[in-house]
Amino acid sequence: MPTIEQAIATFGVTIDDHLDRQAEIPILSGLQFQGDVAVVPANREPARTPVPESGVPIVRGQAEANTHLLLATGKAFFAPERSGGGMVLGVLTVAEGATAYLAHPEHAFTGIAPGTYELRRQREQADQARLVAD
Amino acid sequence: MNPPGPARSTADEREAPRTPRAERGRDDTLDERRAWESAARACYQEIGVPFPERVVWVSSPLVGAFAAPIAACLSTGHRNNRVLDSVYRVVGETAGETVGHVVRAAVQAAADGAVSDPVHGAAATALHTEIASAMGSAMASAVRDTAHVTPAREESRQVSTGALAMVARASDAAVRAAVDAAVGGPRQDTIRGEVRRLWRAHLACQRSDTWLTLVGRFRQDTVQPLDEDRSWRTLAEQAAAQTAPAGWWWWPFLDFVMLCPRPAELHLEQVGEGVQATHRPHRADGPAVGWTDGFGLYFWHGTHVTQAVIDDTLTADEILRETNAEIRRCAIERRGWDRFIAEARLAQVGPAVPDPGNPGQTLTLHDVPADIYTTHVRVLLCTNGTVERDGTRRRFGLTVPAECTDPLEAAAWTYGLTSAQYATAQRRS
Repeated sequence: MPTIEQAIATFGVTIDDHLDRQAEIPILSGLQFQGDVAVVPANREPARTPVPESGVPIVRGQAEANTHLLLATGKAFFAPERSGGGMVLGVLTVAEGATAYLAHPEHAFTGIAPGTYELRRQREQADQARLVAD
Repeated sequence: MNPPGPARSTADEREAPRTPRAERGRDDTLDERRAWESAARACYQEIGVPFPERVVWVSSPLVGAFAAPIAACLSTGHRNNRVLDSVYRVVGETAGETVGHVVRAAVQAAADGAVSDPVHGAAATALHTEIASAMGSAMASAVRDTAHVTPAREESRQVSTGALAMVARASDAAVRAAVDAAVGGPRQDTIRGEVRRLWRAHLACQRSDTWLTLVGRFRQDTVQPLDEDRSWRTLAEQAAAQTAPAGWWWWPFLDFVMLCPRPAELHLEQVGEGVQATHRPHRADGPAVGWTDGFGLYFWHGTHVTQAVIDDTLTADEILRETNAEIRRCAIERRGWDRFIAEARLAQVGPAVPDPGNPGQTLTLHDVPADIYTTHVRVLLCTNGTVERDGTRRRFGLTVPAECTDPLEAAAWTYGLTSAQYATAQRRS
């Protein structure tokens, strides 16, 4: 398991400095949450669009801060969802031998093992259900 | 076409030293005032009325709303000082001493030495109706006469007219409330009557695309490079600031023109992303929109609210008694559900359960009485998976459908999962 320090060195992203640099990032294949984003194992058609080296901003926060950024070492693919009311952000496929990460300044890293997942956004019951901004 | 004249006698120039430099540079540029004045002259010309000698800049819509009608009364020969003093006093008492002082100064600048016309009252004739209907033809003439001028950037207007319209509506409501508070009481006289009637005799720029475009015709492209002024946080805010012309509201009279600058401060948040992104006023720690004299408008994610909501000074009871459900919701969100649940003693539904994937943390579900929220909801109280800078973990509430019967079901709903799926969570960060 890489540490936060190693992941920062690999991807060059900014993580809040009070978070422990030596903490290890678990690489998991089950259900995980990073704030208002969920990584949900899914039985879906694998995605085919490669995640670029610069990553994919899954949820963009205000003024670029608090963006959930999808990154990978090895082959990972992401297909944004075009329908579904905005709750399902897209399908993520992590190839064998690869690892995907969600990076966020306040939540550090979520390590994602090989498999296919739905990335989802949290919602709230307002007048109509609306998405959560954390 | 009359050449643009210099900006003249101003009440707010006396206020200028108190304005931070960065703001003054942005608001009071001579070019902008000239553009406004040229556009206003074009409108006067269109209705065949000479442009007045007295052009008075006031510090905010609130000041103009009092000063314009009072100056109009004095122009018609109103000389009852007892009444005048009582109106000034009540403005100071209800709108604040600062506003009271600048209202007096603005009235003086607009009405002092005016040739009064007590017989016909013509000097005080408000021209807003005529001018509003003449803007279109003024625009046509301006296009003909200034075809060589580059209009101000069109694209910046697209970004922000929605937000500016919200601000304009809120200005209207806030000024209306202040006018009611000052002169809406049982005591009535000529001046009070004119304030109640004539504060509305203004032209608000956002109501008329034509007016914006017309000012734009007279505006050399003075748009600053977007990242030059760092006191403005986002591009959208800068665009909005540049879109709002210097004459935010103006009162056109036969004898004088009174106008106020656009807000000195404007805080927006972005909703949505990319091409669908829109902007709305929002600020959690002060007025989202502010003029230099302290007149401010408060917004919570685009909803116009009172200062007490943003300053978070309401009691839980006061929040519950607020009659407007939308404002009640804003007040609760500003307070934070975790505090509101405790203060309003919202009943817990079912036991607290451990939050799967978030060791040591629990989830609780609370009932929200049907009539206090916009829709019937329950609220799920959660704890962040990551520690804050100060070592604590942020607690926050999420509203869920009232049909949720336990915390796990509620938490699962927020991600569109079943309770069984949610229970398998391995990690929350």
